[in-house]
Amino acid sequence: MKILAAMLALLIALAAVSSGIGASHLSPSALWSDNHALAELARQVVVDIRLPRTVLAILTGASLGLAGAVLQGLLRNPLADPGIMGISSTAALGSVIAFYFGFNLVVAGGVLGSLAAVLILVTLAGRQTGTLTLLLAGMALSNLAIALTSLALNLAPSPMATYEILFWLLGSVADRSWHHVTIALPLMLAGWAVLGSTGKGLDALALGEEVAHSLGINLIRLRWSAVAGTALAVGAAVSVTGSIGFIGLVVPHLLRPLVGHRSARLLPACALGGAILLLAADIVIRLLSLTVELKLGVATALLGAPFLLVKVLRMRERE
Amino acid sequence: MSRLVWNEVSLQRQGRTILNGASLAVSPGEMIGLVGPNGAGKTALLRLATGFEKPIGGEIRLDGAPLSSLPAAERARRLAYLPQQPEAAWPITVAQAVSLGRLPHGDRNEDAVHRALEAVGMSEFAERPLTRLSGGERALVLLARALAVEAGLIMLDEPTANLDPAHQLRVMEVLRKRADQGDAVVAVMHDLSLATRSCDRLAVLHKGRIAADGLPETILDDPLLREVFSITVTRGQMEGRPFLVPSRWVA
Repeated sequence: MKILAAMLALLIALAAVSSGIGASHLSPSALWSDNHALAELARQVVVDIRLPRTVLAILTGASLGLAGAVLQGLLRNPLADPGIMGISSTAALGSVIAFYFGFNLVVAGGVLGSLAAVLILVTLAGRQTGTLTLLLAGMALSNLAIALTSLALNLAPSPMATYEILFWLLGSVADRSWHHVTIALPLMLAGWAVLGSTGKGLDALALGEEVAHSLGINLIRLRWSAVAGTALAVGAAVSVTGSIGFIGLVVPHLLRPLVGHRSARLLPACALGGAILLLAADIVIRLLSLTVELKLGVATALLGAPFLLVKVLRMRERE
Repeated sequence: MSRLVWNEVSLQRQGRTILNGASLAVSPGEMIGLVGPNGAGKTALLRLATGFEKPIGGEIRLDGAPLSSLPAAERARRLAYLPQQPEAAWPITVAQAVSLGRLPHGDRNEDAVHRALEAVGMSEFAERPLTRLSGGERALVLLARALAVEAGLIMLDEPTANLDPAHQLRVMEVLRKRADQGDAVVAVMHDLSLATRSCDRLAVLHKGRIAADGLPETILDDPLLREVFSITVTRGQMEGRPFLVPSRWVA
């Protein structure tokens, strides 16, 4: 429990830092300034711009970390991740398609997109599918989703629409409002609740499906819970932030040696770890004073892709 | 202390008949060796009893009640199962793996976990990662996981496969002890010699049916071995019990 408490403290500290930095060099202490104009400006900057950004980074990171841990447990595969397996890109495709039909449908599009992706993958992985088959399936799915998204960009009605979609696809929590938080939050919470219910089943699955079944685990319900929970949490996250990859891969990998493999500890740790990692990454890209702010999705991919390469190399050595 | 009865059970997979009216009963304190050639339906018979697969005909009763009427958790508390393929997805510790056996009870009864580890002689390995054990050690730990359920009935699919002779004898000794303490034990075995020496009864499964069922001393006679297993054997006596060694393959 000490690690979880330390992680929570770190997350709170990062959230405080995140509310204090941004394009305007305004300190949150200006909120309590006697100068009413300054206080009002500070309120706008901190409450309306920095806080939703901070909250979205936390919610998205937690969703991706938790979904990654559950998918890895379900598929008994340390390379499972919403991004690598094409779930994020399919969710993005769903959102892009929905984009044409108005904003409120974007979230529904994201959730439906990720639901479709997870369903395809879990059906494929249903019985004794090897790591390679599964990853190839994810790759194919991801490529298909990217191709269809490109098609949508290609056919977009105006250059502005193309530009807007393209930037959104890069993945970011910048310039998001409380509106984004309020539409994504209920779906994410529902997703977390469903994902959290899979703990015991995932523990038993460590020894294989037959053992889990013999221990009274309902495998069908377990699979559906993982599918629905991932679809809700990742779909909602992608639809407001665009695709942000590798959090679901990296976080469980880093935390398993620290907190062990029991879901009761691993799942909350991965949710916290995902939130910490994504928020920290978002703080770092704000601190790097580049002329154009780096997109969060680009930053996580730059860190995550080499990590995956190293992991694949290590697996090769073991074989 | 459970009694399990398979009553005329049948199973088909993709139109192929796997079991065709097989009947068998196992009582408390009894250790049954389930033998038969590859593809005879031995694993299927066990899987029907765990509910992993559903029969298309017949029924299975646990202490008189139809298995299908029992909630999954209840069935899991009363019937422990060790499948054939040992799996370990993560480097969980030996103690964590064995404590999974307590899942159906919703407790982490450390005494039960300790007893199970003790029974297989793996107590000092409790904190080792499962993935770093030898094949034989891992098999003993997974057996301890099944023992930790303390179910009263334990079914094992080839518990001695891929084990060296010492580990084979250890596994059979552990199972013998459980049966002597009143548990019902059903073990799928390929080693006829080991099965003959260790079991109270042998059931021979052939083409989806129980072809013979009785005392190891008498059940495996020459015509049956020729018909079911396509072998001839050499027989002997050891410590007052008969044993047999396959000697020739016959067409």
